[in-house]
Amino acid sequence: MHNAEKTCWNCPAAKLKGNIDFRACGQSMKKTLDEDKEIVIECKRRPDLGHFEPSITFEQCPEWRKTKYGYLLRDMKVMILGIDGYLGWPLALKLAKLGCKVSGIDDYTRRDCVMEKGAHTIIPIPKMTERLHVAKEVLDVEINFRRMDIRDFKALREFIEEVKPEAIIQYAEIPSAPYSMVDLDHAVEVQNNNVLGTLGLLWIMKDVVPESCIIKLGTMGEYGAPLTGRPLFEGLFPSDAVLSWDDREWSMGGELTPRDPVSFYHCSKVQDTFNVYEACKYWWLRSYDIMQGVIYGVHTEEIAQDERLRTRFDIDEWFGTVINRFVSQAILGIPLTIYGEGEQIRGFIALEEAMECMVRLIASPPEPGQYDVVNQVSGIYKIRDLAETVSDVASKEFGLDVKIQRLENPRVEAEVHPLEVVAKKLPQRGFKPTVGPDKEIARMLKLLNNKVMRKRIEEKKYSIMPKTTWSGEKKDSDVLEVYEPGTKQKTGYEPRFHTK
Amino acid sequence: MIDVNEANFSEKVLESDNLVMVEFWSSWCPPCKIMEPTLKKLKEEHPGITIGKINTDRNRSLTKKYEILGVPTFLFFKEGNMLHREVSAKSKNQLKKIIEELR
Amino acid sequence: MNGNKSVIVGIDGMPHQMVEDLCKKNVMPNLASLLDEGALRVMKSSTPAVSSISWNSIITGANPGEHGIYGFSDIIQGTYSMCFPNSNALKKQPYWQTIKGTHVVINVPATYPVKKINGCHISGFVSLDLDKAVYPREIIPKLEDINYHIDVDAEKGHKSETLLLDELFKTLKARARALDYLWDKYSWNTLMFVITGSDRIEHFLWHVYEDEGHTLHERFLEFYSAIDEIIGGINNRLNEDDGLIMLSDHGMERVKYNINLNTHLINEGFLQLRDEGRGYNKIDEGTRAFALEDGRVYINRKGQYPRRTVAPGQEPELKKEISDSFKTLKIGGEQVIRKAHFREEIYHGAELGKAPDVVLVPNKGFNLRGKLSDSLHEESPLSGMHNPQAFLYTKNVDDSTIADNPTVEDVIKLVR
Repeated sequence: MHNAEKTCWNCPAAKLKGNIDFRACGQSMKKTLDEDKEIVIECKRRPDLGHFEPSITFEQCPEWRKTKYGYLLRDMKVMILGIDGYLGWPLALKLAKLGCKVSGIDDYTRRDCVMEKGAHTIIPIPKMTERLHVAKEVLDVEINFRRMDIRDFKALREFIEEVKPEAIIQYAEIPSAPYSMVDLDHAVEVQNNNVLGTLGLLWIMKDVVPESCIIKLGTMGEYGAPLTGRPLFEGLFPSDAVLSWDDREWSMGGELTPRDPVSFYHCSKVQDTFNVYEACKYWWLRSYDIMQGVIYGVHTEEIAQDERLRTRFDIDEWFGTVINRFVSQAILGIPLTIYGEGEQIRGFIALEEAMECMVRLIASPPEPGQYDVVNQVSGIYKIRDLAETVSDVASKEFGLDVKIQRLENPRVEAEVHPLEVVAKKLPQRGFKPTVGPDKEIARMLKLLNNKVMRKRIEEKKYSIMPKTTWSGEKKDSDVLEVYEPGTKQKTGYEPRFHTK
Repeated sequence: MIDVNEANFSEKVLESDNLVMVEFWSSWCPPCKIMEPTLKKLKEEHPGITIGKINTDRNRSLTKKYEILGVPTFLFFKEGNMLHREVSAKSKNQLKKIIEELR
Repeated sequence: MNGNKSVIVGIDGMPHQMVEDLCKKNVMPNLASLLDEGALRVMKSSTPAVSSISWNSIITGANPGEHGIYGFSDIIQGTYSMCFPNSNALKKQPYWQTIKGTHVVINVPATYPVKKINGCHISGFVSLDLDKAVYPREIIPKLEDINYHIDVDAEKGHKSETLLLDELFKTLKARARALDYLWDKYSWNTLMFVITGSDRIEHFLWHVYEDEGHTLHERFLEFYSAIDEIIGGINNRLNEDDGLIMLSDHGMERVKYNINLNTHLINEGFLQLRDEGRGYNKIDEGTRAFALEDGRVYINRKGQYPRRTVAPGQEPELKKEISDSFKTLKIGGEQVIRKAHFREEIYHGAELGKAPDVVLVPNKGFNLRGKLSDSLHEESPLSGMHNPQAFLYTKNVDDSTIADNPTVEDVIKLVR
């Protein structure tokens, strides 16, 4: 098991008590240079141990049980901020099924924003109260939900004080690049919600649950896509990354890698990175900053068990992610929309893989004070290659007639660039990708390529085409070209991916 | 690489026959954790030297004794004497150069 | 329990021999006159003679096999990690939870963290947070006012002997002020008051006590005179029929050597260490036994420890081997170990599984330590070490159920 040798140092149940001598009676007062003085802890879950050295491993500790994702704390209390969302809901169900005590908040911002666009989730989802009932009925799990805006710090603090979560998943952010580029008000709303929400959470954690880990969603987009093609490390330079200049050399080991965000939303994530990094420095908090690739897919083991448990599926130009959008375009017969040359390369991860990664990270808390970064990516692909894959699966397995169109790029970004990604930390925690785009695209088509779903996509088809440009103008992108899949030569850069 | 602490410092560092390089590190310090692969490579290329790691939080009087103000700090010992101190993350070449000079 | 009150005065670490000596020398006149009115006995401490085990036996009347505390430190089952068990690990309730009435409990060692009580409870060493060492919390401000300290300030203490003595007197005075305050505040049925400075002073300055010519000898004795004053004060406030019990949890004697039991185990092939790991995590595969402080030897048994080696069938022979091996240990021609007990011989109860397998009782002057060290014996930085000869004094208490040579487990019969 990847986390068998972790110890009390990593465990959220351990309360650091300070240095004391190991022999008390009479002799405790004498300091001798060759005696070990040790930081001792108290365990919140095993108060009968008194004070002790934090060296019990997860394998030895009866509070940590083996699961298929690694050792997990028995009845671990996990709080998900943004529990109603695309990721929040499937994660809640998965953790609850694994025996965790799941709690969460949401104020339905995502539902509202998508409605603002005049769109809706293609897969119907019930209101939260019903979701909770169905979870109990079908999966026999209870989730402690409270409706709340993350920025209502008083309410958030009260909830955290009540529950004392041992890990907090920060998903309560507006995750849309185009949404943040609509106008001043939208840009402010995104940065205000995202940055201040996280900032408040950090201050509350410092007071109430400083030993719990904050696992927050960043994005691969924080790094940008440097034209030099230098590798995108996991947030921090390795020690053998060297800066050489003026005939001198310096190790860049441990420094934050450069960030080059591509929208005001991405800026908010970069700002979060700095806030979390500082909080760990000042207050000995523990964090995972997750640079997640583009998410896609509809399937996890838990949500597939009942249609009322399904998670949302957005395809509008603000909240739909590219593979999800391509699938819905294929179903409608709209040529798949790639922007500009379509040579953009991005990291991707399927929904069920992302969920597995999150559990593995929850099982493997960092050291006190450690700010750790993970590239949560299971494969890297070019946009136009993905379009080819979607059309391949759609036409061969579902008899759909799919074309591809190149649109004038509404974004300001490099369309042709190299990409080399390093993603070793999740494999080190036992993660092996199980789902590729092919498999998940087939699943999506299976679920959505029917009369009922097609109607739901049709209803909102005017929300699909991009209208939000980075320049601020609201206009339809010009169509540059429409072509048959399989007719273009492979050109440009080849992505490089390091997992070992 | 060996784990050095207050109890075994004399034996492993001061009384060693080899050139000894110890890294003072801390769990919350990213540059420290990141030095691991570099130190491993160094050990392979220089089997005759001893490389040790001392956790500053758990060995406070040693940390104070050697006036460690920032981590990572590398101290180099030979025959019980401290010969050299380097502060901050280092590239393999930088450490190699120092090791070769001190041998 | 009759309608009269009972007071228990504890003097941590005061040996029976010292009571007789200081009464004879008129250092403790109040105690001396009380001896005429009551009965003084030698009381046997727990095995090993350690405060946390002994006090817990005194207040519960239970054998360690029943109350579950085997020392100040212990190894967490399933690991080689060391812990300090505290009152959360105590498996039998102290008398103040089982006997009806209002109880005042001041400074009993090894009772932290405190629990709700009908009355009040301040725990003695080792107490990390004042918040969890005092019940009810309302009395904390008053304790801070009178400068109450759970224990002597260690930093100042080890710097110099005179500083230590100053600290001890200060702490004792504050302790007495707390006693007066709480005596009046509560309408109590039992009151237990323990002085722990005696243990500290004896550990550090036993050589001063033994050497009448030492410059600090008088000051040492003054400390006990100060204790005697408190005893006098208590006695004066008692009514004719109120019961008075005075006792210690263990005695004290001169240290000749600190003996590192683990070194002997390594030399004799019972214990193997590896490079990795801290503290007892250095214990390697192939280890058959290891030792903790105060003479406790544990078999590295399968199912109980991570790198376990010993199967159940091998245990009886191994225990004998260990016991015989220690009996041969000699320093300067003198035998170190007086007796080696198997745990079933001295412990009984539901918590027997947590007990050390072999408990070694040393001869005079040999202080048994559990360090992982290269040297078998060392000079000790302290001059006093524990021995089992504690004392028990009773007045106006029905002591008919107590033998002439009681143990600490018998005290509770006097309190019922």
